[in-house]
Amino acid sequence: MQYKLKIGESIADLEFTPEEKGRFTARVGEETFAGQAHAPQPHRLHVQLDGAPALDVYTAPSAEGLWVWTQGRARLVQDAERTERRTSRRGGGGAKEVTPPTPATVVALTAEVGQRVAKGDALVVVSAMKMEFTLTAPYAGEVTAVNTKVGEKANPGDILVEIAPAEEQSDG
Amino acid sequence: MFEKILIANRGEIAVRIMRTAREMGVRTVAVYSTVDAQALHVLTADEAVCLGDPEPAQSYLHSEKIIAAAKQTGAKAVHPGYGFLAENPAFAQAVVDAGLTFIGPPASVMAQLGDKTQARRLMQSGGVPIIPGMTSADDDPARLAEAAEEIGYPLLIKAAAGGGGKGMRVVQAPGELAAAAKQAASEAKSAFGDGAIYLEKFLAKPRHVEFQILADAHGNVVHLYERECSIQRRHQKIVEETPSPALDDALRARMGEAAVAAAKAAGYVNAGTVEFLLNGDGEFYFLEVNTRLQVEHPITEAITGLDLVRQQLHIAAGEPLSFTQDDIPRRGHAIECRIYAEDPENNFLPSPGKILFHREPTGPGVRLDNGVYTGFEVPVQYDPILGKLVTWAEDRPAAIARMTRALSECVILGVKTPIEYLRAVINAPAFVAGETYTDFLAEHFADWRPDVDADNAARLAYALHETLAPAAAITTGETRREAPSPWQTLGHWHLGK
Repeated sequence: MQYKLKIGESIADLEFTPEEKGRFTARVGEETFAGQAHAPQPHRLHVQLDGAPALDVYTAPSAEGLWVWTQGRARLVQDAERTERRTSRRGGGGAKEVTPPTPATVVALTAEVGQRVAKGDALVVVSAMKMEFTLTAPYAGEVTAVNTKVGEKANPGDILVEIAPAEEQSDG
Repeated sequence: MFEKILIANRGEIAVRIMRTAREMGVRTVAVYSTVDAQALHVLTADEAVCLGDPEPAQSYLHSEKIIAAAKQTGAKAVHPGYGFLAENPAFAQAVVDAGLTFIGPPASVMAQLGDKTQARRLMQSGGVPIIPGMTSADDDPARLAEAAEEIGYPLLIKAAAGGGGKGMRVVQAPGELAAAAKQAASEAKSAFGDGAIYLEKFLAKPRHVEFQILADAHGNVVHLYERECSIQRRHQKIVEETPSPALDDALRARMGEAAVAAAKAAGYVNAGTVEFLLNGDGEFYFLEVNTRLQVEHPITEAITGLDLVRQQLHIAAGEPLSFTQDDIPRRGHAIECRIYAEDPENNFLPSPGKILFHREPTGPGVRLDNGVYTGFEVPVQYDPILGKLVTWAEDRPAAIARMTRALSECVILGVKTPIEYLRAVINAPAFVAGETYTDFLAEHFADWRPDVDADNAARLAYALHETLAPAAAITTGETRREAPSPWQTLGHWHLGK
């Protein structure tokens, strides 16, 4: 079985071969693994690697990928191909949009419809867990819609302020 | 003793207070906001009262509603925990005016100590060393310049009303003073509603060392030794330990005496913490008094064997301390690591969300004061602390090894946590050598990244999970509502206003 797996920004191919009785071999780049694994309880895998200490592994699937805990470290492991498809469907992700980095509450709003903004201008201040973040204009243009109010909740992906790009595309 | 108390807080500290209350046969009342209906403190209490909307001003900061909840349930005393209303003198007074007992110091003492310049004058008169600088606030540029000449550069501008780094500025040279003072005053005004500022000498590379004190209503004051809290990010502690690697018995005795003198000067009653800055020459200076149970109190409990919440309840009930300074043992070494829902790779950006799986560490010398569980949705409205992991062992190296083991056993999936980061911090050569100064994280951990060597084992686990746990296969994720994750949408934002 072939997997293309993403952790953070790093993508690597995993070749995985299941064998009899929970045995397996696997290869990622130069690194090879061989051993035997079983699932003693939900969310838990126990992996006995040949010639190496056993790995106690905990897992939790989510819409974004599989959360994995091993050797005291948490990783979100994503199927890189599926992540790419999703990102391209959304038009290159939210990095060019005015959206909070984490679920938050809007505490201040300076953007107004019709306002001309330069790249980097402050538009919205949101607060999450006692910290404040200023959301800025990702490119120059004119504000065409403000989709929130002070006191409202905002989630990543919610476009709080819509901006029509300036014609000369001064977006660096 | 009180028959029933109300805990005006949430999360791990509310649960921790309830545990001791239960051991003492005291019934507990939780209060909660609508978003916390399934929170652990609500599930732990004997009864619970909903305060209303999640916004703190409508719930955990709403004095009238909290006092009404106490009256309605017949609670006789209110424990404020830390944060929220814990250091609000108006709340402490309102509790007393309602005929209830406030489990903490008197409102008047709290108010005095909350004003930084007033506290400095109080300590100076009580013979407690203070950081050289002004003892009253001033905004006149000429008088500030005059005071600055006397103190010497570099110096620190501080807000009289505040804390947490707001309204604070380091000034390196006379030319910068006027502008920095103006900025600091305006920041203090917006943060605390009071723009009063004062100047202090700036201490390079200090340690933050604090002393736990207990004072009863009969004039008895003891200290329960120190806590070293130099490992801080954004002026917030994340690792604490006791004893401090910087103190010998002589210095400990001198600082302990100063802490007791500080408590006496303030007329302090109940549990409190006297914070000091300690420089490399063994000189220490009063910083402030925290008039509450501290987040990091469990390490003091670990080395003294005393339950601070139990002591707080006895003191609030008017009982005298049942021991003297010489009776207080000190044994072994304890470390606390704070576990927040935040991303250490990303400027400690808060990471609220659902905890998909949680396994609590256990075993010898391990204590987890926890506020969450598998399936709990960490709300966005409050401080991101999830729990505090504390280890105790016979000496410092053993306590570090035990904490390393406990962190490795502490599984939290679904939200980002600093567990891997904390493990790196406590095993860093400078930490192991006891070189803990307040700039420790900035100096050693500014560019920290997770260990990529662990990534391939995680990839292997992905394939094994798909093979061995098909019922929970990840492919089901595709059909769910696709909320983009923060690292897909991270783009144009920065911290602060």
